[in-house]
Amino acid sequence: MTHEAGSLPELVQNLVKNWEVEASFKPNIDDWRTIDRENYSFAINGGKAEGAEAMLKVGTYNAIIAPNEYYSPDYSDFASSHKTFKRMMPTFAWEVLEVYSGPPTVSFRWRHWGQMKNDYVGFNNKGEKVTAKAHGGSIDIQGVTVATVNDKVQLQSVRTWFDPMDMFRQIAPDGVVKKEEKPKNMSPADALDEAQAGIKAPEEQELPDEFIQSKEEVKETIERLDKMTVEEKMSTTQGLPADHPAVSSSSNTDAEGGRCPFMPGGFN
Amino acid sequence: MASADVQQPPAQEAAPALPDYLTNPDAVLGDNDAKWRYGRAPDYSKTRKVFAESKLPDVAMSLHVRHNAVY
Repeated sequence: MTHEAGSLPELVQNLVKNWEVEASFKPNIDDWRTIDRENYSFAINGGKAEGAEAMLKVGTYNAIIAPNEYYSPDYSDFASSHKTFKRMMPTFAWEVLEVYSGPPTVSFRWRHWGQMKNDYVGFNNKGEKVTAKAHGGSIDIQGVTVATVNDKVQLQSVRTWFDPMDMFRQIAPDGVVKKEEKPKNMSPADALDEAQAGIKAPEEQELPDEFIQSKEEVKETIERLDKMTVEEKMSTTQGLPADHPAVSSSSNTDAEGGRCPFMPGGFN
Repeated sequence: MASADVQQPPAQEAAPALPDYLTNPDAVLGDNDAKWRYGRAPDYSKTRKVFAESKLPDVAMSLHVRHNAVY
């Protein structure tokens, strides 16, 4: 949806996007700016409410997905959850569709979508290794969140409802999956590595991620990010193509010359 | 959007300027003093690009809302 700048749906969308960045990549809760630390809790589908520490420990995927026949947090630690989902679906975009109420109780419906680019490999509630062939199509789920916020619009009680099986039904639309016993004497992360050998997805990664990328790829990603200033990162998010080389501010003094030759007017 | 019946816009009464995490989806990526999981802020450009290119068209949403209103 295109939300008017400054509209409630756009503000909520920005808040949640920033929260997701913090929950995924800021290991020190004191650094999170989007939550009311003292009053923050998070629950899925009416389940037990947890604080930020719990999510940090297991990762956002494991905090959100209940054990099922395709996947179980019991057999996937932080590292293997990233391997399972980020390799299969390198980007997972998120948008607010509708906002039903504003502060102090913000309620809204959202959409979370991506493309199944690589095979799904995960461990299910029985500890079996489950694989599903990549179909290249979209994975597109929706849910509803009700969150209370303080006077700084920081998140307090965050309660989300969604159908967790919806994603897995779309991963294996015909129900065709391969189930194998987990290799013995192997951690889930190592077993995933073995099953996903040959999958190379660094071009799609949004981070230097040692869980997913090789040491060399992490180094390359860090070097690329180091060349970008924060402003460039943000302007890139407005629109340069994903693999567009970083545009340094010094070479961009000529508005015409420094821009992408294919899209001289920039992107929206 | 469906925000017409909202009592008041967030934070406006508390401060004239909204916090940056409400106005910019990438605000916290600029937190250079924060500790980052991989030593630095992640690059969200691909995800944001996919977002910009494939968010639900407004027309689809308005049709959807109308459809729901019938029932």
